[in-house]
Amino acid sequence: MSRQSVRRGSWETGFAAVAAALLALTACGGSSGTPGGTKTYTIAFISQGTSNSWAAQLDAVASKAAKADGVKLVYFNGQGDATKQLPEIDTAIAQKPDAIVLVPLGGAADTGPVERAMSQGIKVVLCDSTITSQNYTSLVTPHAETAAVPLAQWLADKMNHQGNLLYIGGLPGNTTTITYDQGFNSVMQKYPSIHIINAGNANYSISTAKQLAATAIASGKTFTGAWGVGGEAVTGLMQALIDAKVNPAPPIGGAAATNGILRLAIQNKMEVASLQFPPTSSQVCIDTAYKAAKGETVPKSINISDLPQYGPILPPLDKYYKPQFSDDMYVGTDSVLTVDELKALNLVK
Amino acid sequence: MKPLDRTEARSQLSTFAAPPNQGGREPRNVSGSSSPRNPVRTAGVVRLAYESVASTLLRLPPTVRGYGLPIGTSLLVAAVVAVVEPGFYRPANLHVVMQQYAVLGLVTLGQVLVLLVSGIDLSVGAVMNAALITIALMNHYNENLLLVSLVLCILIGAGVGVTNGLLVSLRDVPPFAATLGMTACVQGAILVYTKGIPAGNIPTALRPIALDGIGIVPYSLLICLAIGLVVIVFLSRGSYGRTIYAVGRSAEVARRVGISTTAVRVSAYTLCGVFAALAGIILSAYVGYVDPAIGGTYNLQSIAAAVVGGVSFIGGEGKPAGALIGALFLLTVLNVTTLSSLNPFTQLIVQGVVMLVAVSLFHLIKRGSFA
Amino acid sequence: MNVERALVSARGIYKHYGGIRALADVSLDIGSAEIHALVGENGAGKSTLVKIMTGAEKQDAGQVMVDGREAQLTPEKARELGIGAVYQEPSLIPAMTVLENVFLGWEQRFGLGLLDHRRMRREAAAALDNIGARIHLETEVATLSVADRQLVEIARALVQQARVLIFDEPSAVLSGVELERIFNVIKELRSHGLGILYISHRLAEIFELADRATVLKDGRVVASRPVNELTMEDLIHLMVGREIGARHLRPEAARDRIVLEVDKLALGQDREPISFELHAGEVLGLAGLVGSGRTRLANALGGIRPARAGVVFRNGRPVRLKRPSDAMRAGIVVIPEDRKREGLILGHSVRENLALASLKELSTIGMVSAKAERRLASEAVKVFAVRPPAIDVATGTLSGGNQQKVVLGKWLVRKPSAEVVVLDEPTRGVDVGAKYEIYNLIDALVARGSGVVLISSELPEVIAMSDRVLVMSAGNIVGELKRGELSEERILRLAVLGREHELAASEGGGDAA
Repeated sequence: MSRQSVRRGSWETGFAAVAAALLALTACGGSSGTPGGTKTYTIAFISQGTSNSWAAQLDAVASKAAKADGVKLVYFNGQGDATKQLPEIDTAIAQKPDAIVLVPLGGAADTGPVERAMSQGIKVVLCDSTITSQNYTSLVTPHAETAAVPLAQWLADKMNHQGNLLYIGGLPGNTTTITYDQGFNSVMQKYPSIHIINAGNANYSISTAKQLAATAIASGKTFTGAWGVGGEAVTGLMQALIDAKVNPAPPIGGAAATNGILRLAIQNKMEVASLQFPPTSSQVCIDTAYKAAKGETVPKSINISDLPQYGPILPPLDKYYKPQFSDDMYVGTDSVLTVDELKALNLVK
Repeated sequence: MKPLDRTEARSQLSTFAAPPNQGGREPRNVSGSSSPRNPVRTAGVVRLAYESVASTLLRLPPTVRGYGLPIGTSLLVAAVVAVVEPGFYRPANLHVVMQQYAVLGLVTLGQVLVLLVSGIDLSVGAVMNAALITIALMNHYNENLLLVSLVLCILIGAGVGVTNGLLVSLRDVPPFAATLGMTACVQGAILVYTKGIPAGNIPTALRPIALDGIGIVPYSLLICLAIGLVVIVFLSRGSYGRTIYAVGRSAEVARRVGISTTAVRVSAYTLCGVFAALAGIILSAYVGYVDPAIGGTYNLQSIAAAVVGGVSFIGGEGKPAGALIGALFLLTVLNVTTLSSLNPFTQLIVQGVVMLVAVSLFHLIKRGSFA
Repeated sequence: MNVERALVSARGIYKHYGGIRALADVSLDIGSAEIHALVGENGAGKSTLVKIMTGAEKQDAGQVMVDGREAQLTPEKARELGIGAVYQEPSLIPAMTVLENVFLGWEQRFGLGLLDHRRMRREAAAALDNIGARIHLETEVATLSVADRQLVEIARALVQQARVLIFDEPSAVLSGVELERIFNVIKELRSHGLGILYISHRLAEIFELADRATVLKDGRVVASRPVNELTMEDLIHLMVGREIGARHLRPEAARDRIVLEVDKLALGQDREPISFELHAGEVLGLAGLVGSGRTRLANALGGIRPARAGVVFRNGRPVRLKRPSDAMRAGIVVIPEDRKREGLILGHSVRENLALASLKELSTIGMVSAKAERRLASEAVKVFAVRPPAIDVATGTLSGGNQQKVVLGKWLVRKPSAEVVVLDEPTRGVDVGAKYEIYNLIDALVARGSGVVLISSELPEVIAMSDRVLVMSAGNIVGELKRGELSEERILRLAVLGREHELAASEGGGDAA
């Protein structure tokens, strides 16, 4: 826990951690008097590393969830890079935790270490994305394939099942992109009157998405709907529509729900449908790992999108948008973290 | 000299007099169709046409080749575009192209300066990211500090450039490694500073730079062209340009006439960093949303634009005007393929093939040989 | 020796480069178990002959015979016929191992293109063993000394079954123990029946090593005799005596004003500091063998490679020479030895090259005045008789002589004019016509009151042009000769043998002048 706090580096959380550690010490002192009492489980949390705002929120929620469960969380920083994350996994295994929560950066590369951990009896919960083998305890992730379906259906209905659809792709070969597209295509193939105008792949870059969308809009075609793979694509798409003063803007589907997308949509009176790719899902990951460590049976696969609080975000959007928080906050993070904790993450305006 | 002349004469002769399939270059029978002679003849005719066009081009006087060819080629490209994708010329589309060109043009100008002194700058993308982050964070709560933040962006660009230049010229670090290392440093600094969460927003007061303008010409393009004009004039007529080309072609000769090769190199990298920062400001204004990876593709795009425009990696070869045309060519290809709404994978292939053809043709013409 | 017994012989070889005659009617035999020395001054044609005998260049006329049969040599053909060469700067690839280098381009293979490593290892080890070289096969060549690299190159020639080995001035880059090792190897090779062609201009080693010596002068063979029929005096006598043609003698300089005083300039660690004076209107010749430190001195005066210590005075005032701009400011100009690398930007036009040293003078507020630049370039092209007299052609397309005129022009059209001009080998690789134009230019320079330091390996040139000559050897000035004392033999004796021998010779009354 203290290790994580140091990495976080903020004065407030540091203080909070020291206080929490003192509390934990007294708690242990109390429980040591009763032999055979509740054991403190250790969970190694191997993050992506604070390389982007999604991962930072995921980490903060995980830390808070661990505190709530009374487990000891040891933090390992993946530094946003699969090759840097690998040795961290090995270090984590060497410390023999009861369970590991891994946010995989390299689906194939992480397979070996995960199998090694499993063979040593360490429970492994994969958080947010999977690896190439089936040898893990549980996988907690949104299923983009199914989660994209209600959004695509909403969009098709809004388009009255006809007209030009402006499409901005994700990153070719990326697993999330592929499953996203599967969900999208399974809906759109039902409507031959919808013409998909493919403007290219934005590679999860806002500025690339904006440039592609601006070009497509400038071609003079009228669009009755738009779809972007991922929050970045949708953000760029929205900025392009706003700057080109397309009025009324076509309905847009495909985003991951951030406060910024909601802000743009509300301020510019746009209709946007988002799925949740929530960083708060790490709460589920930690809880699952804790249960597994205790010896309880946990499901092999947990689809975040099936949980009621993580359903699709469809208009009207006012009830989701929180003007006091910054663009980078994902919908729902404020339901887990306090305002002070959000402030430490630069998420309060 | 003499044997060379003879070979040239012979190759010319064979081009015009000999049957096209002579000279051991029997084209493969690709079609596998009825007559085996048919594809041979077709390939021969294509080769004949290519070589006669090429040799005609070669016979042009150097001034025509220097200025006429790029202009002629541009007109040809413009005509091809008009046929393939007439939508390109819609004012709305031209407006978009100009907005995007302002950014790529600026980065390319800086890259050319560095390429001319035998360097390469792979940190322009990182400088653009740094510019965006600086603007976003400093204008998070209010926009009073907009001008200060812009000045700071320029200073960051200059600082990265000076460091690159000093590493390359004083510590002999290969430019590739030095600038890539600087990229890591800048990105790392951004992460440390933002803790991975680049909160903030792009001030609305900044946005007219990229969005507004005179008619369909955005202010950003005017800025880019003004700077481009200054660079073109100073490189072709200024003593600074002479020192840049001298250092790029022979640092030893330059040193011996009293030119400080260190100062020249550092200045080139510094200007490159400053131009990248400016491009970052303009792109931030254009995108209007905090995108921490805003400069992602500009390292390679600027190098590609310069190379398409005839700038060489060896140093001392090429002109900023050529590179600006190269950047326009590059953006036109990207724009037309996007307009075509082809499958994105096909778009990539088309872009790649067009680029390869452009670069190889340009260098063949420049080298003046068609071996 | 007759042709039948020779392994390789040259017969009536002619070679011209542009207008310059490099070789004329050169014949030479290399026999089995013979060390044949090829001597001559710089530019006598030794290297050209080596290139022809190894197939690197084609002769204009004449034949190369191998085993008595005429051979059309290419580098591959020469290697096949058993002709190997060891160059001053070995042609090895530094980043590869000894083994890889030994078999470079000669790799032994099984079928299917797989390399036969065991066999290559065995053969390379045997070859290195043969010449007594203890070099590990897996060592990277970059880490070897120059002598070891030469041994590797010899081993390479041996595994390729060379029967004739040509050594191109190994003593120019080796000394002392290392040179002794190579000598022993060469003698060992002779005992195995190989023919050796040994090129050098160090006469002493000829007597230690060679069986026979052939002397080249101006591209012609002036003598070819067994070494035991020759003395050192004979050799020097045979090598010198070239004519540079009739030139009217310039009146001797007044020597009333010192424009440059060099005081204890330290140029290297184990070298004595150098001191001399240069007067207005004087040509001071600087003679010595290649590697004697002349260029090092020029670079120190030009601020190109500053001296470690010492002071240089210009017109009595000490000047700082830390960088080239210091020298330019002090009115000192150095025309470099290697004009293609140090003097000119070959891709630049003649105009751009000429303007390069005068950019400041040609510019106002950072812009070069096109008019002033063209005026300067046109003037320089006219004054220095550059042909063709066009200023917008690429400099690389000019002949060597005209390139040299552009270099001279670049430095000498600068205003204000330089009062001290150091010319490092100004006529190397220059045709006869251009040579005379450069001589006239030197006359014009001193006539206007400049002091000229003329570095040249062409002794006739030094003698004809200089008022005074300093002779350098191994980094030191070993003698000063005045106009009346100048002769090729005296200069060469000083340069080759050093100060003591000259003193001994003159004390013994054996002055050859």
